[in-house]
Amino acid sequence: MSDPTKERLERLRRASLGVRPSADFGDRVMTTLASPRSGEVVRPSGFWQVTSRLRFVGIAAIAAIVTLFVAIKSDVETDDLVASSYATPEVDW
Amino acid sequence: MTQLPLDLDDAVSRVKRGDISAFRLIVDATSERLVRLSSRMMGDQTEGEDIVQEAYVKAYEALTNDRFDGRSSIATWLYRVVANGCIDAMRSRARRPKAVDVHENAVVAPSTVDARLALEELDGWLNELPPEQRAALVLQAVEGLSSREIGEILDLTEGAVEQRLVRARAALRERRSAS
Repeated sequence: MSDPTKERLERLRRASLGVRPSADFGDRVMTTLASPRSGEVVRPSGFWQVTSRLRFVGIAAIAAIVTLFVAIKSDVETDDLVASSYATPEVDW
Repeated sequence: MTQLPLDLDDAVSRVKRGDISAFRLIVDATSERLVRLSSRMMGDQTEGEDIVQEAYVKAYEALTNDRFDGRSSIATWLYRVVANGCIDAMRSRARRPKAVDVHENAVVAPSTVDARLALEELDGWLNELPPEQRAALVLQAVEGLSSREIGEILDLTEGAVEQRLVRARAALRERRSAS
């Protein structure tokens, strides 16, 4: 006795053998892999390397500015001290 | 049957070493069968291709992060990921109505007209079956896998697979006699 369910499934199996991926399917997959979310263009490790390099440059710049500011400030204070010593009134003995 | 006769070990090694272009060899060697599998399971080629694409992204990440253990071939592993991806997609489709694809006519699908009609018929016919029953039925009757192979893919015992197949066929017979 024939089984209509089995026969229909078999017919659909044969008919669906003609399913083929879209013409650009492979290209789409490779584009997805190369996108920043999942591919090799932006890797988490690369991101942190760039970030830490930028951070280092920023910190070095701030340190240089602070050093310069302190140096100028201490120079001004020294000049003031020298100036005030010159300004000390002579004691009349 | 699930062991696809493909030797992609060299491509796998190259991808693991960071050669993204070698992944194209894996895609070209496996996409036809995987898209056919997912399209048959989903009854829709556009949804089928989306699921296969996600499977490739997972595979690429697994290879480049050294998470692919190599116990089975990459082709067999992909087959399993796609089959389970289809079940997940069917479950979420059951929770919301099927999305209408506005680009449907724009897709350049070289599938034959017969094949596209067959997918539509499969989708309409198996639509009311629960995802696990539908998956088991397609894997057995359309993909030609044994109950043991289906059990390995769906992480079920052979008995559990048989049970789903019996229920699926009974539901289809019942619908047929009711109509």
